[in-house]
Amino acid sequence: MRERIRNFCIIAHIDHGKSTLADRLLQMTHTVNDRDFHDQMLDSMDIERERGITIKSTAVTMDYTSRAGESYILNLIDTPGHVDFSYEVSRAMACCEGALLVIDAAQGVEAQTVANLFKAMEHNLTIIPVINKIDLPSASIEETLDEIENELGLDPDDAVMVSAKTGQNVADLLETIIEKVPPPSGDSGGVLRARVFDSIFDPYRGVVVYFRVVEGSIQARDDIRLMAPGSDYRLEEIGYLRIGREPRKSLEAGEVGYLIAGIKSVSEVRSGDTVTSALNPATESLPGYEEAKPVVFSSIFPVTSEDYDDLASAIERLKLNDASLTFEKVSSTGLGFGFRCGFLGLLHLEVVQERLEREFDLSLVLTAPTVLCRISLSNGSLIFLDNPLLYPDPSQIVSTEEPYIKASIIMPDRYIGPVTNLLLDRRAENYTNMYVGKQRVEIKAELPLSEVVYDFYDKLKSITQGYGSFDYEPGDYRKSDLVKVDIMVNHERVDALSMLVHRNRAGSWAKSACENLKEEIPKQQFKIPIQGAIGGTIIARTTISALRKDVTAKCYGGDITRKRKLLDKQKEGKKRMKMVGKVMIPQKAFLAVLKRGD
Amino acid sequence: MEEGLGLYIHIPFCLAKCGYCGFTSSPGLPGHQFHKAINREISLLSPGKIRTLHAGGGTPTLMGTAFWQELLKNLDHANCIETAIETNPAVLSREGYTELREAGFDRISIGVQSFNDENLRWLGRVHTSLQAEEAVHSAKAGGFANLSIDLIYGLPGQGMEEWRLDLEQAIRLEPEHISCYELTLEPGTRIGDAGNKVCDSLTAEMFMETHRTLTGAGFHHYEVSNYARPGRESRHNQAYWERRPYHGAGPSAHGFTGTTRYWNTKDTGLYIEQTQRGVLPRQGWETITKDQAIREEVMLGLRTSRGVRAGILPEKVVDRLVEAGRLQRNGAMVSPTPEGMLWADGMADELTE
Repeated sequence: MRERIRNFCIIAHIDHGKSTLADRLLQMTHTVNDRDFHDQMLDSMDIERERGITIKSTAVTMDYTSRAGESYILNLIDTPGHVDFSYEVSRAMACCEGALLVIDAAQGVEAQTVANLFKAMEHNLTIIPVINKIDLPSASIEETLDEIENELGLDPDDAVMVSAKTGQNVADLLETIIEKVPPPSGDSGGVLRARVFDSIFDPYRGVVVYFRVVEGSIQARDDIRLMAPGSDYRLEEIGYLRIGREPRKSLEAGEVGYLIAGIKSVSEVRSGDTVTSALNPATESLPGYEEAKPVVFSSIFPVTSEDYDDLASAIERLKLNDASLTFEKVSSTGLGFGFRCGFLGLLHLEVVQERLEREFDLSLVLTAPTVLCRISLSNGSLIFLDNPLLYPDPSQIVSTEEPYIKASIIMPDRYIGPVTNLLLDRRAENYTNMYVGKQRVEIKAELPLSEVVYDFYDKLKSITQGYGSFDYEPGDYRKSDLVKVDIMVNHERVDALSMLVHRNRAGSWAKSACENLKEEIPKQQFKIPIQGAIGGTIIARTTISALRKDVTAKCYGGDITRKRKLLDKQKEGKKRMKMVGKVMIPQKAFLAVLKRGD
Repeated sequence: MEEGLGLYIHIPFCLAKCGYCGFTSSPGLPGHQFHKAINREISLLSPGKIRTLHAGGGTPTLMGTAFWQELLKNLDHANCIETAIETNPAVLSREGYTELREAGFDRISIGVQSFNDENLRWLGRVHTSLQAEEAVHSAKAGGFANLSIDLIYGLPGQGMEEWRLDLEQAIRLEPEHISCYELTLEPGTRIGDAGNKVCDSLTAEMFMETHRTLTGAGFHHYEVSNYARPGRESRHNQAYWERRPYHGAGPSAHGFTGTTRYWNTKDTGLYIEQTQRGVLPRQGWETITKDQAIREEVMLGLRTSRGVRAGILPEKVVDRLVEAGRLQRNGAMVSPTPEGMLWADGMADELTE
């Protein structure tokens, strides 16, 4: 049985064709019939489909009959590609023996590809390079093969050339998988240890846990134990993950599937945890488990205070399906009640924001994303600060440290100049660059995490016209001269806009914040001063002049409808405004400041 | 006894498209098909007794006097209290005004816009200030005893002195009615899309200066942009602001039944085709809810010196706005002060749910 199982994942940079390749594999193995097929089968959330990213891991079990006539079970474990979810990626990889490394023949190797390849190598996966999009006129196969050899250190002879779009050579790829990827090891006779690689929340069944049996076997009626929290559950159902769920009586070592056991929330089931038998538990859990560690923090407020309860229940609902999201209640003088949330990274933050707004129809204000700073106080204590509002009295501060990351950027060499400038602007240190292919350069640098959480990736994309790719791993904490900048509108501090920034940046940040506010806050019937300050020192100021009139000249003949709709729109707009003191600030003014438009 | 409904007829043709104009209109002459289409739509509407009639556009005089003569003949306008038409100073000859008057129009509105030739060119008008003055004289000579002049102020770079000259010149021509519109930068128009900026504080001052000058000259400031000799207010437009029902005919025209507002297609080709098939060329309509009706009443009433019924307004907000000098109480009505008219939109927002 085990000899006929192949567990593998697909590694690819965004847009290199991972989802399309997965779709073709599903079709060619008849896992989905043509009538039920749609694009990006494995991405179930709207946001995954639209943005072309995978947020959660999933798996699908495919039956395949080889050219030699033998039946195989292929388990494709689909993982997120983004750096924010690298822990989830590594948990999913730990369930595989092989990885398809998909490279777009027109784009070549990207930073994310390299980063994920290294992760795959750490897990001793057998790598099959797959050159995709060979049907494109712009495909440069020779160059890509060259990069596979020189940049990734893989044997280009192993590469399979396919077009996931047309299906060309995908049949050969299936043969390569059963040939090259080793079958799983592990003994079905031993004590049960299964590795959790993700879980989802099903409103009808509760949590559905995705796992791979590493040793032993799991029976449909077993009592199981999750080793990290030490909690026991009675199994309700186990089975294979097809396009739907397919219940089975048992799963043996090497097999991938799901379990349902009356678990209420995904936060009880952390990826990387070990499932064992409650009656005959394993003594040691599988290695590689880590607690979720949020790295980016932001406060989320409803635009209208009455929506607070809806926001609260929406966040709790999201949390059911997103174990890495952390939150606690906060209140702000300008924005009322909200939640201080922790995220795995900026993409995670955006995904949560988008889901709250889209799936729960909420209109939100988010404060500037902050990293976790470490502050030593004169009384000898050390505090971790994730919220500028809790910034201690500066006279008590001995030193401030902030987290750094190790960044890797790969791009065509013609962009070295502008990318270097961007990095210097973002306080990069220990900067090196080296050629990794013909005319392709990899830059490595260490820079503060706070400098990449804003719009670093967008900036990089725009200055490299989309050719630059970026990946990072966490680094250490370093001393940094951080100050807290407050923004005052009509002499009232807008606490949601307070920010910890490096002293050298404080002036320019405050200036652009003031200007953005001036741009976005509509004129009101009185003059509004806008100021940026460090403590009591004003470092930037501007003024919104008073409105002098508010009337339209013409009533458009008999078109009263148009006029009334304008009034309705104005009313609607007001609902999306926040009162700070006696000034109405539209939501987009907060967003304009927080987006940092420098 | 006043009976019947208003009737607005929109003619979407003009000599040249003005740079600021956001109305449905394009250069050209209306053809035979269009003539027929207007008649056809009016017969489909069967408007019954007409209380006021207003021919607007575009330039409705481009239809030719014979057309209007025929149209009026077929309408029941025995009790009509106002039969008005708009024109561009460059369209009619001296005799043309006489003929229009004889056809049955008793009010004429002349699109002067400015007495400064340079400003007229910038606005994209096809006439000179001299032509405009001649048009006013011809209309009077032709028998129009109720004449209105349209002016525009707040052009980029226009100073107060320049605007005062326009106002003085308008007063000298002794019209019964003057409309003074602040230039609106309408997206989709040449001037609106050219990145022009209007200075808020200067146009606010121009508004107040207009008020002082024209009320000083004996005009009644009865709506944000409209001034009239007492008794010469536009009865047709007042009906819009008082939420009386009116029919709308012609491409893009709007109508109101008292509970439903409807509007016609803007597409002249489609308009002709649909009327030919005997279909009313409606593009859309909405039924006005009670809340919406109140909002309309407040929003429209606050633009007029007549004001709004006090009973439908929140008293505390009214008190505050009276205190601020923007509203005044006149018995059962609350009306904007002249300064308050500058804040009509904002107040409509504050005074409605």
